[in-house]
Amino acid sequence: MSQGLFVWSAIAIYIALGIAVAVMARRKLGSGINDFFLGNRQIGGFVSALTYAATTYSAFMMVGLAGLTYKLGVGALGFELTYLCGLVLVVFFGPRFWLVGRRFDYLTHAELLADRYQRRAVGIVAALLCLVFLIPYAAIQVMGIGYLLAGVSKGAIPLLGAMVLAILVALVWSNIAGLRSVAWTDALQAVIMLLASLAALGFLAYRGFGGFGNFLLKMDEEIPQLLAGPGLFKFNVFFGLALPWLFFSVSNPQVTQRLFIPKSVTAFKQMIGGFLVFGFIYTLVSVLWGFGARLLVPALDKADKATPALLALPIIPKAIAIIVMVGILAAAISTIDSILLTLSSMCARDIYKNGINLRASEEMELRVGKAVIPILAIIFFVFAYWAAGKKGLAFMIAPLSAAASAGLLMGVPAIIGAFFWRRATAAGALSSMVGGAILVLALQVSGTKPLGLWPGVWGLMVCTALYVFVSLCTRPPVQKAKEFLQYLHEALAKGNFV
Amino acid sequence: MGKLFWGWVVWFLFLFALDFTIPFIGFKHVPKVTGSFLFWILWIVVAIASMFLIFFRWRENHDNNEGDHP
Repeated sequence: MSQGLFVWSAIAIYIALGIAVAVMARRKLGSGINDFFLGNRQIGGFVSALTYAATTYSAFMMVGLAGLTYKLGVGALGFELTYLCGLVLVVFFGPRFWLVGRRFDYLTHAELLADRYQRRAVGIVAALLCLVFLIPYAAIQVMGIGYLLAGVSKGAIPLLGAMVLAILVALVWSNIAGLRSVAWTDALQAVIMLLASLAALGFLAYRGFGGFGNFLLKMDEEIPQLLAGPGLFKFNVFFGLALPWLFFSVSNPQVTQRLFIPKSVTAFKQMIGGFLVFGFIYTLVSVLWGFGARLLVPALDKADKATPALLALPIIPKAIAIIVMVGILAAAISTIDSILLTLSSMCARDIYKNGINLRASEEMELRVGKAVIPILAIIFFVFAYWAAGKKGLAFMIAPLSAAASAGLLMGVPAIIGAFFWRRATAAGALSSMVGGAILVLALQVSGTKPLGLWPGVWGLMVCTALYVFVSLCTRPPVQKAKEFLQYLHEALAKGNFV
Repeated sequence: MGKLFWGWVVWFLFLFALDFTIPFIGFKHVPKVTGSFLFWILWIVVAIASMFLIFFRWRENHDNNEGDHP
């Protein structure tokens, strides 16, 4: 069987399995916007954990993180584990999101902010912030799929065809049953991602080095420069990459929306616990994969080619290479469809219902949400197509991902303050999000790093200062703050939450 | 927010301080798997165990299911 046919067959099986799962999920689909976008807040712990993992971990892991490890060494492990440790924010904030989501019926974190600060503009700006910065992030996933499939199939699948395929699959899966089909296909994809990467690592270690012990010894002997301290990471690069990732769990709406979906406290605990175990294993596998590539194919011109180059080696059986490719495809598509769904819910609720048409019925709101999904998919595709044509951008997956996360970081002070600071105001939230986003965009576009610090670091400092200063100069929504925080105080105590 | 909350906040700030300092300073001249690589693995195991300790205490409260949809 030719390589192209082999790849196409694997993709066909993967898509057919996903459609079957999505159609099964549709049987549970009820009516209404909460059902479509939140699974009626009734998702079990196992599926919640896997959809959280599949949404969080994208093509970045086995391509971008492996590439970073290949190029800069062990610091890549540190910065990705810093993100995983950032999940402590979910341990602190997750129950708060979950509780107020049920109490006040929030659909998105932007709606939570608009209600808490008692100004619709806060929700609209928060939603726009997510749109601006998540579109490039989603487009990177599409682009990553294009390069991966074109590379592994040795050109049998063209770049453009691979990108169209990715968008279509994400579109179909998110439309079949909304969050339910996305969550269920995510669960399937998370299993594929983990098993495929573990199998590949096993082959790499045993056929490439004769076992894990020898693999680690080889690392000591041949690439000590990548193991000393943080490897070749400079502190400002490490900090600049780690900081946006640290706050990822409370800044990215496709992730915060998942804090609304577990059906019970037990399901919530299973979601966090399951994700932590998944994240630990998947991070370790991706980093070891990068080190393996450095030892076996040391002279690549671009670090992000490490995974395709490793998969092309004879030590990795063709079937395993194809399964890994499907695993990476799954990682990317599960992120794209989750972003599609979350952004469309924000367009429907925060921009349309709370901004343009206050009297819109739930049915109308849902119709708008569904109509936005294909529009966003086209925008993702156009952006990916444009970026793929630019020399230099094509293989900058890690920095581009970090840049998108840096922009979303500007919503963090307003989110944290909503739960803790009675004195916080809408003006403070608005100025911090707008001011921070403008600064980050300006620094990103100009490529400026004052004092060597990355845009996200500057943006976070400035937007926090703006949030505090402007809040202190303006009047807070006393009544709402009291109701919101009082409810949380009592509910947190009853559930023994910290 | 009680003492327990702030206790955990201080503990995790301490862990993050270790994350950013130990590999950059302590293991700067240890070019081995038993340096930063092992440190970060043990560090995250401690962090994950701490998170499990926090959320194992959470309990169901049916008042908190307010807003459930049938």
